Amino acid sequence: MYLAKRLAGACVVLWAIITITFGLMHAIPGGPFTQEKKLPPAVMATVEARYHLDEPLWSQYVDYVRHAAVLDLGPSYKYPGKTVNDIIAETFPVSAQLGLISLFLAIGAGVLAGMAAAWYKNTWIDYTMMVGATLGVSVPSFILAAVLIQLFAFTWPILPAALWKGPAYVVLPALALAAQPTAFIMRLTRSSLLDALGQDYIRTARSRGIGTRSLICHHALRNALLPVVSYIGPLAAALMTGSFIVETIFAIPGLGRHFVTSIYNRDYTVILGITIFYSFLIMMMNLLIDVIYPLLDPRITMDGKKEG
Amino acid sequence: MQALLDVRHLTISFHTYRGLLEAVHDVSLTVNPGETVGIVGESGCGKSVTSQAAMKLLPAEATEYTGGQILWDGRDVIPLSETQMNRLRGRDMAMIFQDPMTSLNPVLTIGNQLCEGIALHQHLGRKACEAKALELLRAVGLTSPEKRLHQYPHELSGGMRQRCLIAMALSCSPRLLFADEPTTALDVTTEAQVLDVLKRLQAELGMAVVLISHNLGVIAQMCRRIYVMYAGAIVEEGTADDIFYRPAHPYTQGLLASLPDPAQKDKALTGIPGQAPDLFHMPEGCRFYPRCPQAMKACMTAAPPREEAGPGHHYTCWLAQAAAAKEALP
Repeated sequence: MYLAKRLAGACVVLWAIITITFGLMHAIPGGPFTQEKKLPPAVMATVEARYHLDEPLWSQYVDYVRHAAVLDLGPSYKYPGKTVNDIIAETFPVSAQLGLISLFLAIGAGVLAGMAAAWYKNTWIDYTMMVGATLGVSVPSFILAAVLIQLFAFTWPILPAALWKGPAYVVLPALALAAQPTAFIMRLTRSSLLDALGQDYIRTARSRGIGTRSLICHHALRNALLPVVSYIGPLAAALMTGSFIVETIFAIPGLGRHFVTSIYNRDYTVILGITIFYSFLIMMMNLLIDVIYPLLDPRITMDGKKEG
Repeated sequence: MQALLDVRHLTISFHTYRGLLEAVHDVSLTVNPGETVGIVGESGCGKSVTSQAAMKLLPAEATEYTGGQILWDGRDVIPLSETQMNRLRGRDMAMIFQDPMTSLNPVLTIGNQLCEGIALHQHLGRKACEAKALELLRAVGLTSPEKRLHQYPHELSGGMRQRCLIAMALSCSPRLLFADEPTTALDVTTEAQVLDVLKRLQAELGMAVVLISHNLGVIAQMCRRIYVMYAGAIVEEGTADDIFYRPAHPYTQGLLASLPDPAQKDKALTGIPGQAPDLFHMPEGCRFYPRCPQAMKACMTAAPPREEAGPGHHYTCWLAQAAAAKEALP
């Protein structure tokens, strides 16, 4: 019942996203076949007729929504012979693989580092980690990627600099992609853990002789992870759909690149298709997070109400 | 008989952004095995700090033990490490807190939190722990204890939570229980029930109890000996009879005078004028003199001496010496 309600809601949101994106997209001047050198009017007319671009906008819109409803995202204008479904099917697995690896890296390293920083609060360990986290949050991924390539592909040539051919090729892009979320998760974990450790129930647990390790891992961490979990939902979707910058630098055939290039190309169907796909992924991730919440905190029920 | 807990001249300060703040000044108190001792005083007078200091529960980085000793079984606990303290906490000494709403971990079941301490101190298996937990929940008078074991704190009422906290504190049969305003957050009916449970279990387990309260009624009902605290220091100590029938310190007298008297319903309620001093601007001399109806010159300049009013009945005041001086006049 709950899931059905959420899925129905997701469909409404997707429809709204399609409508807004469709409107915005057609508001940008130019079209998929406008080029520097003008096509002869007859050719232009044929091409536009082929893709129904000569029809009135509302009819194109109705047409698109009708097809999208049965998961047909239409043909690409720039890659003849390929549909948007093809493009997503080809490139999403690459981005998802890289994204999931970065995600697990970010969660694992971020939570552990956050716990360590909270444990060693106000010591040099904590300060070093916080400086590291501030750097991690503020250094853009393209700079980090360049530094990583310089260090590990040229100074010490132990890892490949680019392309996507096997496990070794994952390391550098995954690191570049994970750095920022790791730093963010670490700061989040540290502060919410320290907050949890200041609560009354921690004092009660201490009065029963519970040791520091158990206080942090058993009592405080579960309370402290809630904000981290809420951040992970959209993060997972963002990482899995790929990053334009990282994928371009490492020449990875992922989805992220299409997101940006399709807009330059006015490749209407690809823009819409990827937007829909990304929105769908975000909504699914948030749904997943909402299912996980009650497992972490029994006061939260599936309907999102907080009791007690 | 050796005292179970013997606090000697304890002084505690906290690091605050305004500098070092002295919260407890030269406090001495003893608790003998099996007895119930009360600490009364207004909010912020240092009752809770004293008791939490005895278990070393105060935040370590902000607390400075500037003087005195806390002898547990004759051994000073101030220099002990956290690990050493953890061997005492829960097993030998335990504490129940004021607010049962926030004192239980919201994401763990009652059974989980109850069994944790039992497993830690008694090295029992899972089954044995659960059996013991059930027994405890029954002992504190919770209905359907099997169900409670698997419930979360938010599913229980305030009184039930406080019973759970008592069960947790008593899980390893401690020799001393600090009860820090255990009934302040509860309604009067529940308060009576919880106090009954405490009294009964104390008799059964033969443990000592330090009851901290600002409620004189609760203290009178439960305690044999009483310490009265004001502004971080003990102003009077004695048996319940001493304190309630022969109060020697003007502060204690003021406290008792401010109680409503059912026999004289028409009498207007009196209070002690003024308010407790700011710990940053403690008056020189006696801490109570700005509010004391019997203040003298001596009270403003020098700290009052500790006087004996009877066996085991002491108070810190200049009045006795003033009276003696008057008598000495020809």
